[in-house]
Amino acid sequence: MDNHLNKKIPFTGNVTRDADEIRNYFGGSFDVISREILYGEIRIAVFMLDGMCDEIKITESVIKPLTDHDGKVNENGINEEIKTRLFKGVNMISVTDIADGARNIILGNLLIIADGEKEALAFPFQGFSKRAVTEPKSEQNERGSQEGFTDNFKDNATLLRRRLRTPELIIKQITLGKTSNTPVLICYMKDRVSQELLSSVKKRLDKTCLDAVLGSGYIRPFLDNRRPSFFTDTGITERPDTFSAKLLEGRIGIICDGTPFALIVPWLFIDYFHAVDDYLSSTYYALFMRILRIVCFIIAAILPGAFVAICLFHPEIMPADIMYGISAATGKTPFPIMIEALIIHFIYEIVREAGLRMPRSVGHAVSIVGALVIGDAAVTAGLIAAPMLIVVALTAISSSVIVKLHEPVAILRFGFIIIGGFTGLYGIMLGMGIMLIDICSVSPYGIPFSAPMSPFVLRAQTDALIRRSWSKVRDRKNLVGEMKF
Amino acid sequence: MEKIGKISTGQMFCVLFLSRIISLFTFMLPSASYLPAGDRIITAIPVMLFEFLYAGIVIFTLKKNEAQSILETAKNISPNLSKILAVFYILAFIWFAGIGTARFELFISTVMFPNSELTLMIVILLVAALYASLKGIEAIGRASVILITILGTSVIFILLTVTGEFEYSNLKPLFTEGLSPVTGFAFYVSVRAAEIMTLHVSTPVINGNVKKMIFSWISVFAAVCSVILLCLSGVTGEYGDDQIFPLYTLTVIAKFGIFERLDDILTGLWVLCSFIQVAFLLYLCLLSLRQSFGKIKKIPSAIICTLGVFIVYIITSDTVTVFSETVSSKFVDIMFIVLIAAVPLSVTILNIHKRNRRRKT
Repeated sequence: MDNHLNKKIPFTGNVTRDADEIRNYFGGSFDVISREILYGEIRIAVFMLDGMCDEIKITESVIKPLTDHDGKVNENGINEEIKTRLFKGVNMISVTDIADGARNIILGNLLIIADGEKEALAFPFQGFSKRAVTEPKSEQNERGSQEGFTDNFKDNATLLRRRLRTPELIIKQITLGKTSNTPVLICYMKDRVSQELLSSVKKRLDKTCLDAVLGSGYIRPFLDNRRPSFFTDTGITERPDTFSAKLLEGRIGIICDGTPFALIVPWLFIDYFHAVDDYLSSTYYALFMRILRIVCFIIAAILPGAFVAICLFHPEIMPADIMYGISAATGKTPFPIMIEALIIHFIYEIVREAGLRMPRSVGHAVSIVGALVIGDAAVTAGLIAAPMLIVVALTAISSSVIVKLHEPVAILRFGFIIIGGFTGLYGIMLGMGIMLIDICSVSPYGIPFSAPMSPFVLRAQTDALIRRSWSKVRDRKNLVGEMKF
Repeated sequence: MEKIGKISTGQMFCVLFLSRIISLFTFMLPSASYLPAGDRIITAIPVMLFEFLYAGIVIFTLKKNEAQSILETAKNISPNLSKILAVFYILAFIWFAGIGTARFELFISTVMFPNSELTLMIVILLVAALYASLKGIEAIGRASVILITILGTSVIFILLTVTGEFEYSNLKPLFTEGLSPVTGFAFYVSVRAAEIMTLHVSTPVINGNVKKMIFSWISVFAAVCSVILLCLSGVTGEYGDDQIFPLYTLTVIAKFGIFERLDDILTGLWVLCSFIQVAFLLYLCLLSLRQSFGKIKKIPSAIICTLGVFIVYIITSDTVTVFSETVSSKFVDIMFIVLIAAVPLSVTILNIHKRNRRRKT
């Protein structure tokens, strides 16, 4: 569809006509405020969007100087008078056509059109209500910063600047979405980023032919590898400190207006197991936690499938007493163990989804239904075996440790249950082989997703599985570039 | 032109090692019957010497052909010759992959689940290998590095758990029947090393010093085999001589804490090694096609090659022990010698001749 904002109609110098044109653009939207003021004998029209501008600032900086005038007009016209005398020291943009004027109003700027002037003036007096900087909800930590990104891109840029106080940090703004005109920031360290990576990211962003960009998730597929894979190689973070740390390694960050979730490219598989607290605690504890997260990933993806496989095909693996207990419990349930595993995990996903979407006021009700009805009552009624419920609980807790991997893990889990139910542990091993190949086949921006483990990059081992002491970790300049093969 | 992925010599080392280690898992009784029991532990050394000889041929041809594969060199002589040779190499790769799959099925059906239907398992193995081959050599190479770490850790763990059972009295004197059984057996084993043959095709996808990689791979593999075979003989003794899969028997004996069966670790590793082996051979089929026929349709070609592997598996699965040791034995010997030495040397000589003639004109 042709976007009317792209039509270039120049200002005529007739306030009435130009103001009508602007009003037409907005089709009578209630929130477009327009006022006409007389400056001496010159008519001036002022436009702004209700709720998008700082009204106090406008009153003090614009309305007051215009109304308290002395009637003098610069020989070069009223615009020159405004620029040089009336609003001295206030930032302003010259606008030559109606479409551009309307775009400025949408951005929250104040637009002034004066009689006899073929150029309008836009003043950045944005002042809309926005969410304050709060704790990052999806990436909690124990000892790190409690500030998370917000929905406003400018606030996010400020949060970033406060952490990387150097002119080497470049933040470039682009606009994406033909209709939404969403501001998007490309952030990188000038001295560390690979130019090839930068141009590749810019090229991909240029190709986002979307009508609207309402969140970073809209851009993510364009930055991701093009091969179909379970795992995404575009990182996502709500934390300015994580974001800054990744930029320092030569990566590129993308901040999208309207979402607190920023994107990082390239993102490697090992990054999923890193957390801010690793850098704030002792090295041995960081290593322990990273191993723990990897184990949790394996448990979350494979445990239910392995449990089904062991019960059906390899009971001899487990000590006899445990196996007797499991057999006695599963033998009483009406469903085959694989079906039981699929049902219970499906129910778990329903409960999880309900937990995410439901209003907080009904949260307790869902918890009661989940814990009591599905958990206790189903076991008491003999519909589900208690060992299966223990496996589900362990799987659920483990997947909560690696939240960023929930999407692939949730799907893989069902796959492993089915493979384990039909082919036993050997099928599970093959499934793991496929998963491994899937991880190893991805090369975001030429950097192997499985790096620095395979291919092994010695220098990157200072912060891969092991987080070595700061004296060893400190020089990570262009680390990402070095992993390119 | 489609971009061909490349892997480092280290990654290729891992791919070859994992593919080759299967032969140790499938060290079967009929093969061992060639040898007096005491000589088994030193077989890895003469096998290594034979493999050095084959490696010498590979390196010689690479040097003379300016690091081109045999199929690329043949293309310089005649595109049709390259296409014919590619078909032969592909058939050989499919054959080795099929036999490997059949041996895997034999192991599962004989030892683990004698009464179960394993065709589904084999189909999944082949589908997984097909998927991996389509992902390319980089994915296979990177996955192999991770798998070799797991394999190494597991094998060391298993060997450590059985060291308590090691009896020096189980070791028998060497060369009781002279050198000829050892030499014969070493030749028998070495001509089944399809991995050396693959180097005639796979070298263009390797970055680094191929010569060093080949010799280190053969040496390290021989060293690892020697250690495992020594443990095998020292722990299982005469009991191990009667087993179809002595290494499996070793893992059955192994105990660790409350875990009284470590055989599933071995079987799991075997599954992964088989997966890498078949995936690598299928990838080489695609590479051979690309080197000789130019641009190919990857997915249909890979599916056809996988079906070929499945057919070989179906034909040989019920009789893999008898078949591979008797009917196909001579056939494999000849096929190997032709593809490892006769064809590459002939192609190289023809290429040198053609090059010289071109220079003169």
